[in-house]
Amino acid sequence: MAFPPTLSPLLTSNEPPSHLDTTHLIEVTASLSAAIEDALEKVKRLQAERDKCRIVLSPTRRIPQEILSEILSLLPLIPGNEEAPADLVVISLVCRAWREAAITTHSLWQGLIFNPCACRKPYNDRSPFHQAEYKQAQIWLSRSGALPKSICLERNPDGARCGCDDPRKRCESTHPTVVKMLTEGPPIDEFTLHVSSTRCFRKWTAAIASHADGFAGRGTRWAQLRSFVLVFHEEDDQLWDDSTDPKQSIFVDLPPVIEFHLNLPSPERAFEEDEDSKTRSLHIPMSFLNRLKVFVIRWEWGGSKLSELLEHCINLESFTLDLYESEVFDETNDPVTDALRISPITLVNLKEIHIRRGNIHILEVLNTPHLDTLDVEFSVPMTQTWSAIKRVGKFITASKIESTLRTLRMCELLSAHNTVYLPLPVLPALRHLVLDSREVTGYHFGIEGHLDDRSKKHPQFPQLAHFEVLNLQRSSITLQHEVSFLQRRRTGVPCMVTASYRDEVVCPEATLQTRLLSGKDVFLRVVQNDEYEDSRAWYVQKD
Amino acid sequence: MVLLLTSDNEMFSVAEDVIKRSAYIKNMLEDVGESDLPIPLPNVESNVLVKILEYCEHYRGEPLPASDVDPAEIGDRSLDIADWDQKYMAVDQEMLFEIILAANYLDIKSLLDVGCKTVAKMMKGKSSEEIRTLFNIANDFTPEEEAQIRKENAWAECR
Repeated sequence: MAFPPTLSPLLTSNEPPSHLDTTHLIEVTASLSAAIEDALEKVKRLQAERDKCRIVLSPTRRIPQEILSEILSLLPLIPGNEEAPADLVVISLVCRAWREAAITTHSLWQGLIFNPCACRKPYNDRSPFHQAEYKQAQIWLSRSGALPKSICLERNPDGARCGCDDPRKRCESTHPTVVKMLTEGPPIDEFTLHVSSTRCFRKWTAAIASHADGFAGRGTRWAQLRSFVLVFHEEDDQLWDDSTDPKQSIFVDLPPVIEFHLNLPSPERAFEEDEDSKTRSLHIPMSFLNRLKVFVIRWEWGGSKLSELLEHCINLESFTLDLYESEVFDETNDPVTDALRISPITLVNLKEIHIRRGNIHILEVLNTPHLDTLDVEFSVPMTQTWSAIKRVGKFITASKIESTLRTLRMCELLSAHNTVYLPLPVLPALRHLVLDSREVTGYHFGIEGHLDDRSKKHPQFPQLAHFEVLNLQRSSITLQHEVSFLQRRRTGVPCMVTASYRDEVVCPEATLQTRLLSGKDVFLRVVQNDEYEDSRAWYVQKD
Repeated sequence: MVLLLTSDNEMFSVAEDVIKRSAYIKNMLEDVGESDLPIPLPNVESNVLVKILEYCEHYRGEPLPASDVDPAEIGDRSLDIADWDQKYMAVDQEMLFEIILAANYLDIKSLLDVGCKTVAKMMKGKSSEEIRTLFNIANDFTPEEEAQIRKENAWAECR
């Protein structure tokens, strides 16, 4: 059936068809519509048959389980997917082979995040719900094999304040399943506890003590933790009412870990007068601090009381200080700070310092003779950037770590001229340099007082293997100074330059390669900024 | 030059410093020494080898990753994929998996990593059904099995 050829003239005119022609065309239209439906039906059938062939031919069938496992192990690295059990359920439901691969990929089952239990009834771990939940949690973590396991108890996702000042309600920190896991469950490596107040933390330690009584002679999992993360939640106003008597302090019952993360509340939320925070001591037992190897603290309390903790961290290997845009050891008339500037706290074993979102006055009161990683995310006004960079150089020289420093990361530098001058000492051991600033088009290097004039060989970073220049702004001479600098090293080891741009890439990687890379020892790769932003977060999370 | 013979009997002559990115070939050359005989690659077809050689050629001269190097030092961490690698991996799905299989067979770790990352990213935010459709995977669970898995994991889904 087709359009009647005898009616073709009607296609090139606007004459109305005759009654007879109209009847005929309606019949043709109906039969064509039926034919189209038949054809579409046939297409669907053919597509279904083709899909069957594709399913059988799918290359995923030939992917060995170890590669599938490798792919699945990457899923938690996707932003927002970290420790996301729901996604594991998705993977497990794809097909049998994927379920098998997921179950045998130990790294997927290492962590569990609990939200506060909705029941909020007085503590009772014998309820059928919590007994079943405990069993499921054990099965979950058992799939991680011998890998270290972590548990996190989050705050209520709706932001509602813990109602534990009402005696009829259970404190949300005393989640029955979590308490049981941390007393008689499998060995746990790291536990993260989010609490609303000092009172909630007391209730947590009381719940552990009360549960552990039934297991006398057997150390609880709480007491065997390697790492403890205690977060005083920022959403709640919470007066810091810890006892001033060290024996009554909430910190007396801390487990003997070697890694401790402490997020203190901001002074605005914790004290009636912000200034009170500067005079408040934290009574963390000396024996606890002595044992620490990794200490991460969010400290917005200013002043110099932080030194009371640091001076006892005699075995510390990694220290992270998140200042959250605040200052510490910055006062000129504080006798403690003045004394520490003359006689700094010596941390003999310290290998890494990470400073987040702040100034670096703390470097003036520390002596770290064996430091190999210095990582600073500045938050200083443009006018202070220059002195802050110089302070980094002075610290390196004063601590005599020129020959031990292997990793240096400096972020959020500001400059009125778009390029930042970095007067750093010669660093013969430096392997990894990261410069990450959103307001900068590039960097000039030089030993203090001697700006690199691009004519001489330079000895500054002879062992540099990886140079990351991130979040660059657009510039027609992008990366020229940096690559030229690296190509003029006296003794070359291969160096990978990883670059990312704040906005769109200035020119394709291939063009940059052709334009810049004439030497043999410098290699360049350009990465997407948004993805590299996640690696920025990685630094923070890892800490 | 090194001669390579693919599964569809095509012969390739490749510079040694290019193909040495393959640990499999590198070890074979070290074990056997110089030879005029082609190295048979029974698991790699010629169209796939062309792609593999494009990768090796691009990274010619770059240092091979040593096993004792900190991944951060060579920029190999998280899911970031270099621009060039992303464009290189913009191929149809069959070729993507062929590249992964060949990289695994030839022991080119950096290429295998890029391939795995590319596939992992393709799954982002997808449901089980969407993943099956994406990769042409048959649902071989019985309805009862599927219900059982959902039941077992119900507590985790609301976590």
